[in-house]
Amino acid sequence: MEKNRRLFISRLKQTLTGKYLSVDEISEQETEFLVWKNQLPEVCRLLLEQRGGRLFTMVGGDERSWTGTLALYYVFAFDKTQQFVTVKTLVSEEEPTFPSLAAEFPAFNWYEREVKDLLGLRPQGHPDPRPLTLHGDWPEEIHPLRKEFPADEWVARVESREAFMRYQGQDVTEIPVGPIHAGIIEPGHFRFGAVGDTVLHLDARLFYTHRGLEKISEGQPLAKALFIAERICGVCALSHAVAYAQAVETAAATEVPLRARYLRSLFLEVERLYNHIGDVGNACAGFGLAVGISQGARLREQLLQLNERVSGHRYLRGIVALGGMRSDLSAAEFADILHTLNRVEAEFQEIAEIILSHDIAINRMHNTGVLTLQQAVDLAVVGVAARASGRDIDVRRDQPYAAYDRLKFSVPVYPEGDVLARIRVRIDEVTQSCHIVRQVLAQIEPGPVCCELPAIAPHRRGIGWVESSKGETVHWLLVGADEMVDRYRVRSATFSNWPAVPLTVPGNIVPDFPLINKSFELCYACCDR
Amino acid sequence: MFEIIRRIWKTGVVTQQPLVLAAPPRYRGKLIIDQADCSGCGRCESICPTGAIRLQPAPGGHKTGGQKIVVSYGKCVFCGLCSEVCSGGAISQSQDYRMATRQKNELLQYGG
Ligand code: SF4
Ligand code: SF4
Repeated sequence: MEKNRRLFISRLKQTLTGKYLSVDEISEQETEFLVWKNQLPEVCRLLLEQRGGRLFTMVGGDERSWTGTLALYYVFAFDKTQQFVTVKTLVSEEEPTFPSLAAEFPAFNWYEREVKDLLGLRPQGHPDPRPLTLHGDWPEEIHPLRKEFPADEWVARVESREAFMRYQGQDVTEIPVGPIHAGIIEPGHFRFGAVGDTVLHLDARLFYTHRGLEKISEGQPLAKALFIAERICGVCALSHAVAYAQAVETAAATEVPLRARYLRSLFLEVERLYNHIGDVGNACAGFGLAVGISQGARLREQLLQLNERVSGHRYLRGIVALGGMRSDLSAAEFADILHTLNRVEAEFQEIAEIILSHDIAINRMHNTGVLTLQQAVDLAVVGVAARASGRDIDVRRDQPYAAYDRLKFSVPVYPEGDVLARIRVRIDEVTQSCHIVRQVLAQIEPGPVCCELPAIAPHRRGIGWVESSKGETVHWLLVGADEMVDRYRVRSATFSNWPAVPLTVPGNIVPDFPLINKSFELCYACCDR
Repeated sequence: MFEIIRRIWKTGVVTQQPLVLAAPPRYRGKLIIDQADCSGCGRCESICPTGAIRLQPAPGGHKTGGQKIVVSYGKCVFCGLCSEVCSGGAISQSQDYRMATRQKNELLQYGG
């Protein structure tokens, strides 16, 4: 491993000769290259196109208090060598601009717009000038992630700068939907341009649930920020908690006890199971197969009750600690998990078969809402949506964390990219997750479940990642003085996947949109933060 | 079609059983505060992630210099950290989840 890493980094240095200022080892898996900002496009291009990296996350930070400048971090994952390369560049307050890469690599689009909104760093040459994370009625010159902006400030709103696609021609009907919906779902505004029943274009406006969670974490002790991490999203609470804990543990250069790693894998799979099973059931609402909806909800409920019995919380909150887990499980509880899972799995298989052999269901899902492999790669789509479009990535296998390096499982991939493929990926993953849980139960050995973390020096960094039921979720953490959070960036799977949804809708009929949306099953809260 | 009907028949009525009456043992519910065991160390107050628990001047509470523990269930997220760190064993957590009230001030619980 160490030898491979040296080789990888020396090759990288060769590729980038003369294009960087310094190299720094951030952690065992992360290497940082500091570059001038005008070299940024070339360096990123080399990493993406020549070295086979993929964009993992991008973070902007206000570091004026200790370096005198603002900074941008582009993190690339190299799955073959299980390494991360961070390209850092400094942006001065006097000239707050940086070269945009969005036109060339669409995956940078949202990241760059977010940095512009929250930090006032302007991507030069970005094709889309609209605000993203902050809505158009937020004053353009106020940037909440600048350190001088107080987290509890009330800001007077201005006239909105929101803009949507303008249609000419009389045959196009505009259909605005949301942000307040008929069901109990999260807020998002969708604006369809349709000709008859067929959708021509879709604008999706999100970030109605932007709560400034990254901002309020700043200055919090590391342990308290865990509670904020856990509340980013309702259904991936555990994934966020584990990703954050891993980021802190990496910053502390500490490995958590093996039993805790197994327990994390166990609970993460249970979280995936209740989500996938509920999501497959919910997708049936898209074509009115009531039996699928109720059976999915019933089985999901059984898993939620299992969660409550073994962890004390239906959504698995409050079980992760920095350095491991807060409590252990007893043999009786392991038996309960196994028993419940076996039963739920058998019943789910039966329901999956009912859905997949239902002609109307198949007819509605097949060839609906297609996301091509090219689109998935260009937008760096992750998770179920990526694997259903032939993009074979899964951080459990590619960048193992928790105990996944000791567990065997396969990663289902389908090339079609339609609603049906996304449902099939979930159904297959349910089988794999049950398989993983059974391995954990067979392999886990007695031992401590938590360890003390050593003191973390100021300006240490860590990245934590988890394959949640929606896809890879990345938490990037910069520790400040006195073990407080200095900058915390959460890139959830939904932040990567939402930009892909509107691309899959044109050409489909309006009533298929709920089905397409459900097949992605992206939460809004963890995208908006 | 036949499969669907068979499935529905086999499942039967799901909501007929009474709702869960007692929460499972691991459930983290309402706090039990025994003021007599409190040393006034303030560890609960500093670990609480939401600022729900406080030491507050009140009649009684002699060991603690005239202060008593007050919890606001308007803020508490039932994480149980306060009971984990309590040095005197004054705080424990029950499985009681029925805390709804019509009066805001009834959300406050004083150490007893
Ligand atoms: S249970 Fe948690 S949130 Fe509630 S008072 Fe105790 S520490 Fe605070
Ligand atoms: S931690 Fe326990 S002993 Fe200390 S102040 Fe709180 S209730 Fe009292």
